[in-house]
Formats: sequence, structure tokens, C-alpha cells
Amino acid sequence: MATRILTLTAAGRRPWWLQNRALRTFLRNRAAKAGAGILLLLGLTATFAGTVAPHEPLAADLNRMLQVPSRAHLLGTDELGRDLLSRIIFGARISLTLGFVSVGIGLLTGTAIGAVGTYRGGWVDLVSMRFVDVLLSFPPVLLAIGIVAVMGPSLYNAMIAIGVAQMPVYARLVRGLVLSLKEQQYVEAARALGAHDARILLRHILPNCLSPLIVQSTLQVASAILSAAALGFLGLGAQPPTPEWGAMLSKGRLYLRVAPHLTAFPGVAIFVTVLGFNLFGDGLRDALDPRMAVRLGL
Amino acid sequence: MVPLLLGVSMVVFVLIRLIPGDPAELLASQWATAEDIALVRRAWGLDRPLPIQYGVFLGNLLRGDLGRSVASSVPVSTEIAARYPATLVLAVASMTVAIGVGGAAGIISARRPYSWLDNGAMVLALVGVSAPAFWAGLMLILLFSVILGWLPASGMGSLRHLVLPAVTLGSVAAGVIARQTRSSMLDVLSQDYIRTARSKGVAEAAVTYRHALKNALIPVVTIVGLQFGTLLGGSVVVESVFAWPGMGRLLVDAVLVRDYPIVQAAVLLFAATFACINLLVDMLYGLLDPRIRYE
Repeated sequence: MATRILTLTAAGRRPWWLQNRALRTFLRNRAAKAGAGILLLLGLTATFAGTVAPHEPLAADLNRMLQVPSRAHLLGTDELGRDLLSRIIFGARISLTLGFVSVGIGLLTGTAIGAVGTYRGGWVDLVSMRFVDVLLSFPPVLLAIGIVAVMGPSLYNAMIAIGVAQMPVYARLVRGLVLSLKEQQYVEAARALGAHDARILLRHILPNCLSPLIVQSTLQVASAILSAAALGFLGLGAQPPTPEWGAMLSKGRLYLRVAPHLTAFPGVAIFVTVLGFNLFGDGLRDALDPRMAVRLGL
Repeated sequence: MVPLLLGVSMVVFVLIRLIPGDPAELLASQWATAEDIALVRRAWGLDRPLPIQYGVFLGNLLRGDLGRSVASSVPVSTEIAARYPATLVLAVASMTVAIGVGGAAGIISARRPYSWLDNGAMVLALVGVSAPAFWAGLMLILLFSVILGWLPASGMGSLRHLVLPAVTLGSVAAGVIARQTRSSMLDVLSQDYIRTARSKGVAEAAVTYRHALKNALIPVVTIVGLQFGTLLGGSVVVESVFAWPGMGRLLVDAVLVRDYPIVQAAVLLFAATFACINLLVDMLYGLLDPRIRYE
């Protein structure tokens, strides 16, 4: 008892929000804090796009086509005279939604396939893992393009396609985790107490997969946003006049020589967003799982 | 490898059959009557059960018969043969850039961890990973073609045409490879046998390249193999930016005009290429580490 009090005083009293080791590690990491800042700013911008944006994102004004950045239009105007800054601000909404929805699709389906297959073992495992292996042998962007080819190019189909293309990553990750977790004693104890499979999976195994899944998902949002922008750029994602960053860039490139700002700024928006998720994800990984950070050294 | 390719062909086959609408109607001209469509259905074997259709598809595939393009009526194999080498050239050139730049940056970073050189290299690597390739490509065009006029902005032909696309496509993989090389090298450099080598007076360069690098290569090779997949996917975008006449552009154009035989063949070939790369990587493990043997 005495030693315990001693260590407490030696370490000093921490405010309640610093009691958590993971949070402390995270807050010591400057890059991670920068990432969190970027994401916070982006989230606020996307939420309050209507208030923040100085102009209507779809309001064309043919008297103001292809203007360079000025006081009235901070980032200039596009080929239809629409305010570029406002379009980029509204684009944040689309890109963040795209990122989260497609990762959600991949996370849910992949986790389900990985967890149930691995936990059950036998032919269910065999069939599901062969399927995942086959999907993994497609380069992800190409799988997404193949799915868009079938479903037709649109913003929603791009979300689904990218989600499906991300599924095998989660299935593999969860498989590895469940393989080791299902041999743990507390799982055996739960089974001895008569818990049925669904309960063991949902209450005992999956909660312990959570932190690697959160880390992976943060990084996957970054890659989902990149893929979505690529699909938009190729004309296989969001269709005009939707202010999606990739689609804006592909329109802007037609005016690369006369109005390079149309290409430069939407790209900066994509870059900063992806950078934010990457920094935040790297920081999360270091904070939640020090061993993983050492092993990957990232 | 063979079961994997079978699986890949099955997924592509099913994917194409999932397209809403009657394939016979898509194949026939838009003025076709009901009898014409029935005729097309018979002629293409679309009235037969799916497993048999798959068997026929597979048989044709093995003989290199991939059907005809709906848009141009040219055999798909001819179209693909004209485009595949260009994509391969671009992919290999980009990977060379990525391994050269990424590997060098990783090694330099690992030799002086937390120095300004290391920090700078790792910031650059993160930029490479986070910047969208099509944007980076367009910015490079803006700088080197439009403003400076040093390099051509599009097309294929001389080595000069290859520089910008290869750098653009390679930059993402370079970032990932740099990060992996650094961490893998740092891992190895803290091992006991490195200290032994140094204490018996082995030159630092020999320690880095003979003792450390060789042992650090396995995870790097894994990442390089995986990056090849990303690179093949990225080639689709980069080929569009630089008007590079490869398979990626063929695929995107085919998707936009719903030319499914081309889509099917292109996706299959991309996946098969990636599978071959993975096989190559697996065989490399054995070469790099004699302890790894395959039965």
C-alpha cells in the first residue's frame, strides 16, 4: 500500500484526461496532433459548408469565367464562373462522406467474413479465405474500376466499389487477430460457461480486435479518398456538376495552361485531407499499440 | 498460382454477367428485332447454362481468344497486345525509380536516424504517399513542360517521354519503400551481429550493405511486391494524365463506352500480371534467405 502511494506522488497527479497512456503518447506526437488538427478543421468545414462558403458552389456566372484568384474569389473561378473556394469547401463534404462510407462497407463486410470464417474453421474458413485471396490478387483500384464498369459510373457506385475493394484487407487483418484470440483462456472460459458462438464473437473476441481495426480504418480512409478522387478524375465516380475534388481536377486540367489554379487547388485539398488521415492514423497506431509501431517502425 | 488464376477468371466472369440487362441485347445492334436478339443469344452460347458458358470462356481464354471489341470489332487480343507492352514499360520504369529513390532514402535515413536528413526524407516520403498521382503528374507537367519546356507533356516514344510518367507513378511507391526500408534497416542495425561486425573493424559501408541491407531486404521485397499492385492500379490514372497508350487508358475508355470484352480482358490481364509478380516475390524470398525453402 505504501509503495503504491509513493509511486502516485512520484509520478505527480495527472489531470483526468491524461490518465490514459494511449492519449498521452498521442499528445506527445507532434505529427499526430497536426493530423488531428487538419481533420478537425476539415470536419468543421464540411459540417458548416453552407455557412463557411462565400458563394453558391453550383452558381455559374459566365461573366466571371476562369478568373485568377482575387479578393472576390480567393481561389479564382472555374470554366463556368463558379467560385472555386466554395466548390472545394463543399467538396470536403463529399470526400469525407465517400471515405467514411466506403471504409464502413469494407470494414463491416470484411470483419464479418474474416471473423465468422476463422472462428468457424472448416470449409467455411477455406471457402471464404480462398475468395478473399482471389480478391486480393486484383490491384485494389482495378477491382473498384471493374465494379464501377458493371454498376455504371456514379458517386454512389464509386463508394460501393471502393468499399468492396477494401473488404479483403479487413478480412485478412481480422483473420489474423481472431486466430490468436480464439485460443485465449477467457474465450475458453466463456465457452465453458455456455455462451453461444455469436455471443463469444461479439462480446469477447471482436472488442479485442478494435484497436488494430481503428488504426487500419483511419489509414484506409486516406486510401479510399485517394481512390475516390482517382475514379472521379477518370470520369468513373462523381459526375458533373457535383463539386467532387477529383472530378473538378479532371475538368480543370483542360485549362492547365490558362488557369492552372483550377488544377492546383483541388489537388491541394485532396493532398491535405489524405495527409491528415495518414498523420492521424500513424499517431493512433503508435499510441494504441507500441509493439506494432516498433515492428513497423513507421 | 493456377487455382488463384482460375479464381480470378471466375470472379471476372461472374462480374461481367452481373451487368444489369440482357447481354444478347447489348451485343446486338440497337435496331435488332426480338428474333435477331434470339439469334445473337444462340450464336454466343448465351442460352446455355452458366457453368458451361464459363467452361467455354475458359477454353477460349486458354487459346488466347478473348472475343472482339464491341466498339471497334477488332479482336480483343490484338487490342491488348498493342497496349500491354507500353504499360509494362511504364510499370518497370516507375518501379526502378521507386526502388532507387525509396531504397536510397530509406538507407540514408536509417544510418542517421532523427537527423535533419532523416526527418526531411521521411517528410518527403509522407508527401509522396499522400499526394494524388494524377495531381502530382499535372503539376509536373505544369512545371517541366508548360513553364520550363524541358520535357514533353504527353505521348510515348523517346526516353524523354518516359521521365515524367515514371516519376509520377513511382513517387507513391518510393514513399512507401523508403519508410519500409528505414524501419527494416533500423531493426537490423540494432542486432548483436552488427555490433560484432563493427567491433571487429568492418568498414561502415560494408556493415551497411553486406551485413545489414541483406538481412533487411525481406520485408522490403514484400512491400515492393505489394506496391506493384498499387502501381498497376495507378498506371490507369497516370496513363490518362500523360496520354500514355497503355492498357490503363484502354480499360478506362472501355468502361466509359461499355465495351465489356475489353474490360474483361484488361482486368484479367492486370490481375494475372500482379499474380505473376507475387509469385516472383515468393521465389525471391528463397534466394534472399536460404533458410526459406519451398517444398
